[in-house]
Amino acid sequence: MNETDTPEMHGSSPKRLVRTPDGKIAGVAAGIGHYLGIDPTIVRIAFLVLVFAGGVGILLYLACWLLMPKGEAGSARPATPVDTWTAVGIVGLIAGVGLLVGWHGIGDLGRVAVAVALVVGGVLLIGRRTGDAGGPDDSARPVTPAPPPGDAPTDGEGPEPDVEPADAPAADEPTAIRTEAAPAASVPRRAPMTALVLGLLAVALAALLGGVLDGRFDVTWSAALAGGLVVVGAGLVVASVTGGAPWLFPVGAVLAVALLAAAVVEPLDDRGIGSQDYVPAAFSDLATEYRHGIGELVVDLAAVRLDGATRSVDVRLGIGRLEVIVPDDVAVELDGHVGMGRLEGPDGSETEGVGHDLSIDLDGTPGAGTIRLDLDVGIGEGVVTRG
Amino acid sequence: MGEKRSVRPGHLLFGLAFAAIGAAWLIAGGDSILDAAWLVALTALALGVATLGAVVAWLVR
Repeated sequence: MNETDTPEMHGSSPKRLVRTPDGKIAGVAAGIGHYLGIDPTIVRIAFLVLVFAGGVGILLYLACWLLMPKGEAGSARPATPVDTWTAVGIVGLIAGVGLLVGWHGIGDLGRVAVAVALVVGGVLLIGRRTGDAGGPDDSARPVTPAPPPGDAPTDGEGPEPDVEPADAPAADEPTAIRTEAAPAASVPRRAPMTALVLGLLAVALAALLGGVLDGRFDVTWSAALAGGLVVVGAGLVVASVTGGAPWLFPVGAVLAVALLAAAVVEPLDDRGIGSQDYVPAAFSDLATEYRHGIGELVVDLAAVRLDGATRSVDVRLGIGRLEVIVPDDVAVELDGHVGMGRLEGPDGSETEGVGHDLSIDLDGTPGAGTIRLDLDVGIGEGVVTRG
Repeated sequence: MGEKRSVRPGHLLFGLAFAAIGAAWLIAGGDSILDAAWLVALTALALGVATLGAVVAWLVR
């Protein structure tokens, strides 16, 4: 045991958030770092980053300077190395706070959602290490004193305390003193898998929301939920041998139900409900894809002049009736699919039933152009006619 | 001391089931109502097998 590593630091007295006299400026970053059990440099970098977020870092530092009481020299816990997930949590927390104060340019509601997700993820990831904000299973797990060196439980059923060298009592101390110096409540516990998985999910959700709201990429809800389900599933598999994470069961169940709902609703609601008509007046107005959820969809291409060009158009309908009207002079290459229902081509050929395809090639006036139609009707009827 | 870690079958089975459902949708999921239908069937199958396995493991432990 070194000179500053007294029993008072580690649990017999409650942890206090104080400024340390041995800090670089006012001891704020060092105090926060010691309180969280992380390297104060990380906290200093966080303050520095927030300085560029409209000067928030300066205000925050000054506020902490005023609010945090000054501690005694050598009263801080020694900082411990930061693991990867804690670092991710810290970065997420910083980004979330920065976003809340107007760091980014996305819409207000989206910004708040992203920021909240980042803050939650950050707190969960940091808390899983410090034990201050662990997952729900943290409280459900019994707290036991640290086992003697070399006698840690290995059956995977118990909490398996993850004793750090700095917190372990010296071997030459009497047993009675060791017991008093390290009460059960101060013994570091296994990092909860629930907090790790949920923290990662929150950070990933924030990144996803940020990217989608910012227009950087487009992800469907079902894909996002499926990704979350994979993470939760992997977390449960890992937890099956590392001590369990019972709260991941309801999280997985909720994600699975949400995935099913999204998978059903997306093909329908995402494209609209009711009647929808598209009537492009010129070649330049012609889209490559037309979609509709439930109801009637009419795509009238009769006025479009292809002038010898070949154009591919995808038309998709979830449930209902689809009608595509093609110019009467163009060649038509039709590739249609119906999940359940009927398809009819411009030449009168048709197919009906479950999971049927209809492929037709029809000649047009030479030089008029070719239109390639890719039709997909989930349930209902699809008809292609000439205008 | 020296005991082997025990595996929690419930965690393992449901973890695999959840991961399989999510991965299957990411790999083969589409945007039609029929895709949703097979996802429902797959979910019912995976969670049913996981539940059955967990119950059997609980009975024989």
